[in-house]
Parts: sequence; structure tokens; C-alpha cells
Amino acid sequence: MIQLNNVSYCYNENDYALDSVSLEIKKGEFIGIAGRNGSGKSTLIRLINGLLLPLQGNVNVMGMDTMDNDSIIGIRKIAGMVFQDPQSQFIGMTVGEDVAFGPENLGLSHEDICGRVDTSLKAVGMYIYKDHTPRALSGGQKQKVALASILAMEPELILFDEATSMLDPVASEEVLKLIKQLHNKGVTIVYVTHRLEELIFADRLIIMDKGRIIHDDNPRKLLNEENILDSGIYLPPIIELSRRLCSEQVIEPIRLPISREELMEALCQLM
Amino acid sequence: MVKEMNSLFLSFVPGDSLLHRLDPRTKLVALMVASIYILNLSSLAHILFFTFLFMFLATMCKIPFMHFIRSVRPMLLFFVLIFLLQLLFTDGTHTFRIKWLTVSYEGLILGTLLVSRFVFLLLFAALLTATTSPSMITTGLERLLRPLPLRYLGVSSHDIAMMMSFSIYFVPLMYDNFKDLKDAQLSRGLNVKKNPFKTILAFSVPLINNSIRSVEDVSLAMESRCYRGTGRTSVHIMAFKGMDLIVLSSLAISSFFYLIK
Repeated sequence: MIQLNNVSYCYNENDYALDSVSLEIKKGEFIGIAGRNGSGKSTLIRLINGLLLPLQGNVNVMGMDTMDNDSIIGIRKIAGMVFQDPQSQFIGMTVGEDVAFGPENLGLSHEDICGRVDTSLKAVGMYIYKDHTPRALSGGQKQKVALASILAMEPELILFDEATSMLDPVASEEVLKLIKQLHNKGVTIVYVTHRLEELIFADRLIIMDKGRIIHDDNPRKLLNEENILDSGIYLPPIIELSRRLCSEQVIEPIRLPISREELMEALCQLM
Repeated sequence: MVKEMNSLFLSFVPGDSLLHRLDPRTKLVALMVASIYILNLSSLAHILFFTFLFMFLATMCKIPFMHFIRSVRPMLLFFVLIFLLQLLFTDGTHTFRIKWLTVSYEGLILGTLLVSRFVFLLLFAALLTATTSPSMITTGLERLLRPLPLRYLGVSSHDIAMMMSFSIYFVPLMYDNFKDLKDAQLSRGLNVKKNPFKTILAFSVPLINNSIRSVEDVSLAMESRCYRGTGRTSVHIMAFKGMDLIVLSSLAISSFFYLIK
């Protein structure tokens, strides 16, 4: 679905934010991307959406090159993007108008726009706020509206740029639940975050550092690796504890428990 | 916060009056025509006519008069200034004295007419914004501008409508930003009364910086949602109804008589 071939990008001369990155994302995958600040995570997904253009290499989305100006709208139609700060994404005066902005740009009819607005707001549980001003909503509600705005464009892939980093744990959990539901419906997800615990259910976990992909594997396998901490990422306490219990041979190291439920189950089996 | 922002001047007050239901294009055209009449106010009879007309329309849309007074209040100092300038510096044949000042009747009338023009312009603009949501105003404006050959100027009617929409959109955003900044600066010991110049700098520099960043973020969000400036449709339906035709016909007839006068 998406192919990045030796892609490089720099904001300042000779200071590469992305350095010869090659990556392939298959349709329906849930890709988690983690890494410390400045590791190139956001740059990578902005290149996929065509908001940034590669200085070297090429980015291909469903057979369309992001460098091709005629394809850019088609690419953005396929690959929707949810940003970190929900407040900065609002364009409409009301929730309904904001969600309608994308379909309006696609030149859809009034009936189609209204239909998509209602469906996507219902999908995220925000339909009752349709006529409210987005500014009056809580952080979690704002991010749900931002997600609805992207859903209204019916994308095949959604890129999340630290979409839950400004939300409290409850709101984060709600947004994550919606993302998992979308993935179960077949939408390809690329999810960038600092919080590794949000990526344990991903099909693939990519760890980035200094503009390069240094790990790309199944989360369970990757989180069990000895050198995982060298990339500067912070392991969630549950995983730290699981790794410790595995290394001390308290629990079987074959299947590392990566969630609270899995760890509790492993400990219960011991008793 | 929403209640607070609703009290800002030139804001929308939801309702179901006849004025609320009129097509935004009708209201925009009516405001343009009314502005031409207002700029040509030349007698006290005209002032009385527009006062009654405004009071009639304001009563009809069931919005408290206080809302409209709030729209005029920020310009009060300006009105007093231009009135005084006209009063004191207009020569005339009929004069009278207020203590040591000699003023003319002509100056008094000219000052009153000039201030009335500005006040009525603001009041009628407030009537439009109070009865029409900002998005409907911008959609109406876009539809009115669509037949114009703007592409030769390198812009589209959508671009102009979007610019207008953003200027409305950023007012509450900047207000929020200002409030956050104020709290941040005061919590770090800024004494507003002690050094006004330093206060202006402490507020204006980060406010401009944050505004530019907000604009950058919004433009990225717009780009990622396929905004091109052309080929857009709208979630709002614009349709002239019977009342729109009556209002537009009345405007056309009054304009005709005004021109042949």
C-alpha cells in the first residue's frame, strides 16, 4: 500500500531528520512508530501524507508518487492525518461544519456531505455535539471530532501523529478504542507515539532514532530484545516488570506478557 | 468561556426570527445598500428614519438592545473625538457660547451627522452578524463573489470567503491565547500597572508568535484535508425564498427612487 524507498529529509542543511529510510506498509496493518523526540517519527508520516516532500528517494502511496503534484489530492484522500493538538486542526465554527470541511473539499454533493458528517460523528460518539462550537469541548472530545473529520473523508489509511499525547488517560483510552475499532474494520493505521503501552497491540512496532529505523518487528518480540533500551525509549512499568520476571526465570521467557491482563494471567498461573 | 465569547461584539445570536431565516446573500446585499444610504445621511429626518428602522428590525429579531450597544461601545472614544472636532472646527453663521468655547450650529449638526453615520453602520453590521452565523456569512459572500472574474487576480471566491472565515475564527482563538498569556505573565510576577510599555511587549511578542504558529498548524490541517481553494462544495444550502424576493424587490424599488431623486 505504501512504500518509502531510501527517503531522506532535512529541515536544516546537513541535519537529516530522516536518513535513507525504506519502509513498506501493507493494507490493513497497524503500524506503531516510537522513538525519542527528534527521531524523525512525525517527519516520516508527514512525508506519507505529502505535507513534506522527500529530498532524496520517493514515497509511493497506492501507486501514486507524492512528488507528483496531480496525485497529491488523491494521496491525501487515501491517507488522512490526525495531529497532536486537536485545537489546531479545527477549521469550522461548529463541530458539524468542521467535519464537513474535508468532504466539501472533495466536491461532494450536499446530501453526501451531510450523510458523511452524521455517520462519522456517530462513529466517534460525538453526534450530539454537532452544533456545538469545538472550542467548548474537552481535549478528548476535540480529538474525537478531529478523528471524525478524517473519517468523513473515508480514508483507507489514517496517520496519527501523537494523537493522544495531550489527553488524560481516560480520554486516551477512549480514542485508542476507536482507533482499534477502525483497524478491525480494515482501515490501515500508522500510529506515532511516545507511549509504548499504546502500541502493544500493533502488528508491527517501528523504533526510530536519529532519522533512521533501528527496529521493525512484532511488538512482543521487540520488547523482549536485550538492546531495546539503547534506542532511548522508555519502557512502560508493566513491560519492565515482565522483562525482569522473565530474566529472573520467574515466568517463562518464551511469551513476554506485554499488557496488564497478560501479566496478571501469568502471575495467576504461578500461584 | 462560550458565554463570555458570545458577548463579544459583532457576534452571532441564534434565533428563529424572520431576519434569522433570510438568505445571507439577501442580508449582505441589504447591508451594502443600507451602507450607501447611511453614508449619505444629510438631515435629522434621515437619522430619525434609520433610528426607527433599526429599532423595528432589532425588535423583530428578538435580540436585546444591549447586544447592539456592546457593538458600538468599543468605538465610543472615536465617536466623541470626531464629534468634538466637527463641533470645534466648523465655521458657521449661527454661533453660541458654552463657557469659554464658541461653537456653531453647523458644527453641531455636522458632528451629529458624522457620528450617526458611523453608529448606524456599526448597528446594521451588528444586525447582520447577530442574525447570521459566521459560516453562513462567508458562504453567502462566496456565492455573491462567484460570478466575478477573480481568477484573473489569482484568487478564487473560495479563497476570499476562507480568509474572511479565518479572520472571524481567529478572534476567539486569539482571545483565549491572550487570556492564557495573561495568566502566565502575571504568575511570573509581571506588574501591569508599573510598566505599561514592558506589559505591551510581554503580551504582544508571544501573542504574535503563537498566532503565526496557529496559522501554520491550521494551514497544515487544511492541506491534509485536501483544501485547494477551488472545486469546493458546501454543507450549507442557499435558497432564495419568498421573503428574500420581497426584501430584494423593496431594496431595488427604493434604490430606483433614491437614484432618480
